[in-house]
Amino acid sequence: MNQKGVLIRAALAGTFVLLLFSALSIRVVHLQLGKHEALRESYKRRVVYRQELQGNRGRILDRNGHTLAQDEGRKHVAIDPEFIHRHGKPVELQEALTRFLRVEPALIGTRLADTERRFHYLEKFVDQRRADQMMGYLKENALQRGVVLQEVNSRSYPHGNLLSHVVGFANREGAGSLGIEQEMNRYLRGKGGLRVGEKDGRRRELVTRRRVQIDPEDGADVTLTVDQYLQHGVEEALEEGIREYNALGGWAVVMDVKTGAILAMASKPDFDPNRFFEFEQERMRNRNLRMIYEPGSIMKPLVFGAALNEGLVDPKEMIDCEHGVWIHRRRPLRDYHPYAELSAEDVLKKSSNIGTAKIALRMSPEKLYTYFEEFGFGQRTGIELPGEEAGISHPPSRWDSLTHSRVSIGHSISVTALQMAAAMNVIANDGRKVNPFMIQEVRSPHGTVLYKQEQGPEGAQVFRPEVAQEMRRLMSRIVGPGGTGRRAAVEGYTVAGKTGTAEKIMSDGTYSERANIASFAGFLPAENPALTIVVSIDEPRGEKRTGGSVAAPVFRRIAEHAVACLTIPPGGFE
Amino acid sequence: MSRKKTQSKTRRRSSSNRNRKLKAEARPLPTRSVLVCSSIVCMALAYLWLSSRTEALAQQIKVEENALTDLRRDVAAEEVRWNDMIGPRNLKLALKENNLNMDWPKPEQVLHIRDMALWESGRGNLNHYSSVDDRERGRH
Repeated sequence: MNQKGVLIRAALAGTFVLLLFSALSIRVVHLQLGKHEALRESYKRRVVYRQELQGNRGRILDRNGHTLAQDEGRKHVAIDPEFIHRHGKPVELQEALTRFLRVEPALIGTRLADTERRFHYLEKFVDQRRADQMMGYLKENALQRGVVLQEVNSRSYPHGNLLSHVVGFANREGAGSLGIEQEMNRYLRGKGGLRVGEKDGRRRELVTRRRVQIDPEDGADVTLTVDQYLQHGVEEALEEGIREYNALGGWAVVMDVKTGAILAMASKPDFDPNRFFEFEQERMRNRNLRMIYEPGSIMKPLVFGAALNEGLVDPKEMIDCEHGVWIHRRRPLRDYHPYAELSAEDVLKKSSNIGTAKIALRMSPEKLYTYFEEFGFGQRTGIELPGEEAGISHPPSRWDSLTHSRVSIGHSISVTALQMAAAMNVIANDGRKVNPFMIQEVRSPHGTVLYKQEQGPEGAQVFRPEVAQEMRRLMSRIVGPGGTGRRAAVEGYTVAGKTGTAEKIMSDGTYSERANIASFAGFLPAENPALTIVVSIDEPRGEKRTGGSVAAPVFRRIAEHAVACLTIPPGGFE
Repeated sequence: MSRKKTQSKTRRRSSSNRNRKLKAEARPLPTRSVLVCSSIVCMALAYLWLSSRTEALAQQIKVEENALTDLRRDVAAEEVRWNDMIGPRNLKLALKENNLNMDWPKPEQVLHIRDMALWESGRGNLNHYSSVDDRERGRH
């Protein structure tokens, strides 16, 4: 009897367990094989771990390898107000956060008080050091709970305003928006990576369940031809000139004569790319490329050189300068200082408009225009910076009766400072045109050279070498005693150059009587040039407003700094 | 009385069993089954050990990955600080603060040493101003 009872109870228990497991099995099979999209999605959301990995943007370096722009890790500071009010000390925390964050204390208070929210940003893109100091302080005072730091990559420009127009900036999304950052974006941007796997209940990745691992790739480094120490000196000299002559702004470019490498390029006013969002667009304009203006008298050596190259002028011949007023095609052409007669070489030295126009008229308009084309006027130089203007150089078919005489003295034609530097460089470079360039090298993170340039694209032999040499001699007289550019002289070096004072064109198309651009374009050492430098000062408003009195001294400061910084011997490089 | 009864019962049992041959069968050990079961158990244990080891290594990988990310970030931060320190503006300030009246050398103080072979190989004018090798670039 007992045994039978035991057997029956065992059978019942066994049946019950069997039924239970059967039910569970059927449920499992149903869940696994049945269509439960909502359940699957819910599972995936909870379990699937997906992390996008950022590749760093490449660095921008100067010619000596000094970093001008690079990525830097920063933090977004956020709080969990609900948690802080339940478990933390909101009043003490507000006081602590106010010490370190650049945010209004009232805003911190408002966000802390919003206890219905679980997440509030307080400040974004906080630098690492400040974030570490803040967290250190919070931990010391047991206030860190409820404070969240989010990692984020940010672009950093260690030297602030230095080279701001050239380097440009990358926006918050990491896209280049100006300058080299924009032009070389395809090289600089890194490639993102990806991790896909699963996470546990605490949202931590289960590394053993990682299915996909694509490593991020950093962007390539871009090395420029500029020298940051030279650039600093150029910017200081410009700032000093702008202050001294109470000008609106100024710009300058320094170019290697033989290779065309741009060693410095400055434009004022400028901006800090670390805080690009605080500055208006106008300050971001690189005036070396994007400001077109009538060059004025700095055009004269190019026209004189063209006439000399054509054999149409002898430096020693005498030119009638009409005592300062010449009526040509029923319109007067005036000189600043009246001369009766000047030798051709003195026409250049004294910057006589009448003498230069008469020399230019010996050439046909078509021939003169051909020289302008060979100098590069009316065309972009092709430098690796965005937004370059081509300038305005009309063909002879669009010239009126006065254009031929006016264009020879730098009116009725508009150029950029960079075009002017490249044109003036023809004389410095034995008559051969070489185009300016800015990118020396692009190198991948693995060390592979993706792009390299040591010499700018060569252009035509515009002047014969002996003509270029003669022009250098004539232009060095301009910087000598009695010349308009004597204030550009550099002790121990021979300088060749030309001053220019061009009235600005008003909005109604007429020339302003007061507003002008004072320029000096030149090179040194004159016998064997190593550097071509063009300086322009925009609207000097003091007593002194001409190229000789305003731009020439700035040129001198720049040139003095350049020859010292680059250790250029007085005779130039052999 | 019960003790006596029990004793006599025991005696009876033992006497009835005294001459009885014990029926005992000796079976050989099921070696194969034991081996198979042992293998399965060993493999299971090995699996558990490997699994826990993998888990531990995975945790270690995660820690190292995070450490690498932190170090890269720290290196970048230090590079930014260093570049700021050696920038022209801060160098000038440092010279001024330490009363160091330094200036660029005059032309007569500079001695140019030319490597004629390099020059003639056509490496160009860039050599006049700078030479940057891979170490200085911070690569390799």
